[in-house]
Amino acid sequence: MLDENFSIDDLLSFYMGKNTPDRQKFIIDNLKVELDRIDS
Amino acid sequence: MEEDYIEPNQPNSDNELEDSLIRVSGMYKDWFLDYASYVILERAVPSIEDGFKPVQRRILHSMKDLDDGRFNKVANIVGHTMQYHPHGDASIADAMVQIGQKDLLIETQGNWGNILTGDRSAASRYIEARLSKFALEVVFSPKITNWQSSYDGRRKEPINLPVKFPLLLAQGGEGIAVGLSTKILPHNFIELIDSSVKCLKGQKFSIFPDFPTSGIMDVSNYNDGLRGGRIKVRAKINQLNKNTLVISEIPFSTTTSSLIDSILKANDNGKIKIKKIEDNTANNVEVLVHLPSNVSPDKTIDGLFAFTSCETSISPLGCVIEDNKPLFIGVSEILKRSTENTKELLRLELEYKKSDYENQWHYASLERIFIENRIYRDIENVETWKGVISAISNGLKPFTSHLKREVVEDDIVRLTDIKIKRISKFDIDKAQIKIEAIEDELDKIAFNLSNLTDFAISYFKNLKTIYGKEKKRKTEIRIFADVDAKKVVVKNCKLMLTEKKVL
Repeated sequence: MLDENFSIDDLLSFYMGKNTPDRQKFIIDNLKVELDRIDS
Repeated sequence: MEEDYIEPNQPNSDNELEDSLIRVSGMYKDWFLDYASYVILERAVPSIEDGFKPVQRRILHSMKDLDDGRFNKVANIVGHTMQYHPHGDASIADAMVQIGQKDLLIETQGNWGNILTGDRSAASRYIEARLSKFALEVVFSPKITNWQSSYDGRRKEPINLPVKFPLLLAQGGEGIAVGLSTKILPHNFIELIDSSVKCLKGQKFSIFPDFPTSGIMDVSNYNDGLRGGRIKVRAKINQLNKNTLVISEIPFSTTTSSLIDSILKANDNGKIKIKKIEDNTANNVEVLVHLPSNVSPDKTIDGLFAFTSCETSISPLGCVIEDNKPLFIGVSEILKRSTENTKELLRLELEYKKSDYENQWHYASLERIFIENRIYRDIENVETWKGVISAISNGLKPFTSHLKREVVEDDIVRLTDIKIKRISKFDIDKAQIKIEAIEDELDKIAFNLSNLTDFAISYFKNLKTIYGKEKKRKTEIRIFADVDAKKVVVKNCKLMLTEKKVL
């Protein structure tokens, strides 16, 4: 069930490997926000 | 996200299955982003609005919940904080001790540890805390706070606290998240206020770190606290006599015990030569370095800078959360935004006060009309509630032309609640004085609102006079001459030349 253009090695080294500017950008661009606002 | 789902090269009848199928790489992406977002937004990185990480914000909010002017046990505050922050009590207590040691927001009682020696605080059941006057004045303002519900929906907590001060720069902050980290150094209280004032006046300013451990620093490469900047901090070392050096201030990020370890290590490696080292630190740093009689103290000082953490270099990396996004930012920009934010918060507070006073004025005027003109008599023969309301409404009408807003039913209901005692004792002069006092306040508020920048400047200056007394700069700024390690290393090997070869 892996994506064809992503080998296990690539996948693991991207997510588990050293931090790279690419990964930093990827995180910042895809950040998930949960906010449960209360209007007073 | 599309590439994570199976392309529609499968039988079309299985549409639902297709949608629910996610490849492992897609799952991995989701897990990773969940975790990264959580650590960045909910844990490690402070927000630019109030300068707090969530745990710090929740501690402060809890302390405000519990605040009655007396000291509370830290363990109790930590327990209360867990209603908002469902994590380890030990990590909350540690976070709280760190705020307490910065000596700005929390007044402490008991053994809160020692930042100079690195001694830990007593357990949280033994120590007590309450909010400082400064925190009460600067950090809270419930009426203009935006709220969110807590993790289990039982309570409400602030999204950001309305902090009217560049707190993040005063306290500094550090955190390692996923994919990014932050390190903002502490700055001087008075200099920050002065800079905020300059910023409001549209003048130029520059700020440099100031550390509670004092020391001497070289900020030539501070780079405004951005990534890539680097400052050097040195211990203050003096010669006591020809065989003794005394260290009286230590670099930020070290403690006397870590410093001594690094000196002993350099001694073991033969880089410097010392006889004995002694730590007399309590309230002030005093580390005595005893030297053998044949060693030059001056050279040893240079050696200490070159080979031990008596000289430490620190790399700042300004990263904050703004609008739920990480933002890499320099300290001057943080100060500018904080100052603007403070000004905006002051405006909101004024607006709130204004509407509050307007309501008071409206009601006080209505009450006066109601009693002065004996409108309460109009309802004597009215039988229904509706009739009462309309009778009062009609009775008020001839006198309400000078009011600033419409008289609504709620106002009239409130008038019907007036006690007879109050009517019989009503004093027109007193009522008039009260109304005029409210008008004075409204005038003041209107003036401040239209001169908001001046108002903000005097707000900052006032903070400085009240709280700035014992906040003088501790760390001296100087430019260091480089120590050449080759020149200062102790000569610990001998070269001998014989006729044939070098031994």
